[in-house]
Amino acid sequence: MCERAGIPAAVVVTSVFENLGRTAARAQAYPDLRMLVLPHPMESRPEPEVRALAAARFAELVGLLAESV
Amino acid sequence: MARGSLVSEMRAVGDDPAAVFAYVEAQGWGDGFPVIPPTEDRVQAMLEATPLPPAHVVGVVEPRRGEATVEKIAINAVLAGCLPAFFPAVLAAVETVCEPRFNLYAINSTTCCATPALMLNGPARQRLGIECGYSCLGQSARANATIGRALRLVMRNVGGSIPGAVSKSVFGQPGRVSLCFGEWEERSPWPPFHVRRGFAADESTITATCATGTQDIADIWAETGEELVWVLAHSIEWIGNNKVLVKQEQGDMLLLLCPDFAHKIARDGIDVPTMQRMLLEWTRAPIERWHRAHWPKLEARGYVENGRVPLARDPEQFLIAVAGGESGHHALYFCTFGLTWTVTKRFALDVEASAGEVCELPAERV
Repeated sequence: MCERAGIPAAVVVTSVFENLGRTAARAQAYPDLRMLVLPHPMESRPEPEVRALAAARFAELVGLLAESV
Repeated sequence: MARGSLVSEMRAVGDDPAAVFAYVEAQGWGDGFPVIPPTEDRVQAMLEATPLPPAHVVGVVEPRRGEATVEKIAINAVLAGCLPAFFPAVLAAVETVCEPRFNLYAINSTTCCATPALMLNGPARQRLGIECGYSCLGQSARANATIGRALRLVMRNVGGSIPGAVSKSVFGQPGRVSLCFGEWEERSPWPPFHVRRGFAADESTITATCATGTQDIADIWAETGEELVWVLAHSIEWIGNNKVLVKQEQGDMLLLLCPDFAHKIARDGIDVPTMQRMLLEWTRAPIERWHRAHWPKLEARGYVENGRVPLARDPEQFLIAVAGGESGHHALYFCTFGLTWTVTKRFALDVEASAGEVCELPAERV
């Protein structure tokens, strides 16, 4: 919806849901939707580990948003 | 007379049922059980049971957002072994689970073993031969088995809910083959479920609720209705319950009472709203049930209230229906996945269109 409104969007998923994300993106006619894939699972990780992961991958996420689809 | 030409691709496989079964499995269209070959004649016979044209889109099935046309649903209903008379119920089942409130996207993609459970009410139960009593959730009647199975095949073949690839359900569950039954209204002390939801008693409805399993609740001790509701409440608030993972105001859950339990509760003056309030109060689990390390996490989500973790916020999140055999001693709980709401829709049986092919139940069964 953001992309349709002209706002760059990227989806963050954990690895086991990558294929589901691609399926959903194709179903919404956005086969090239930008997607950042993180390790799975996320819920049971200690918060410092999640924060470290976010810090390490944030630039990649910004880079995805800067790409043209 | 055909209701319209079919647009689905025809494949030549041959007459041998074993060869057709093997072909369907090889294509990834099946569920591991034998199928009825969906020949054009059989699909057309299914289409005769509805006034809707084959191209009519009944629902958009998540997560692939496939368009479930009447024709595609008919093909899957034949595969599943449905009689044409069952077809209106299958169409209604697909329409019901495609309601956004049911959240089929989540159910068909989650790591949980959630699946739709279908409950029929009204005259369709007798007309289709839906079992409401003994073993109604499994190994009882063709209508129960094949209507539920047809829905599952539609979710797989139209909705793309392929285990592993799209559906991330860790275990799946037997109810993901079929889970369909009727409320035994005639053995209930209360108005039928669909009447309590605003439908007329003589209307047929189908209800889709979410089931992460079929949790048995046994009791031989309770002498009063109040004791029995206590047993029910404390049997459904275990800490690994998927419902506990989501906001308490989110989602509803269906509790099936066997006729004996329902009459024991009603005999003591407990009606459905009263039982719902009792369930709400008695499913507020003490936080000591959880590991101490988890208390801050529950607190941070706002799940803790005066040292207790409620299962729900509103009494009406506890749905009650009556089904199962008359041998007593058991209730059954469909623990919800949480991010979903039960949906009920009415449907009509077009008996003329189904060429009178209905299977009446013997009077003593319903």
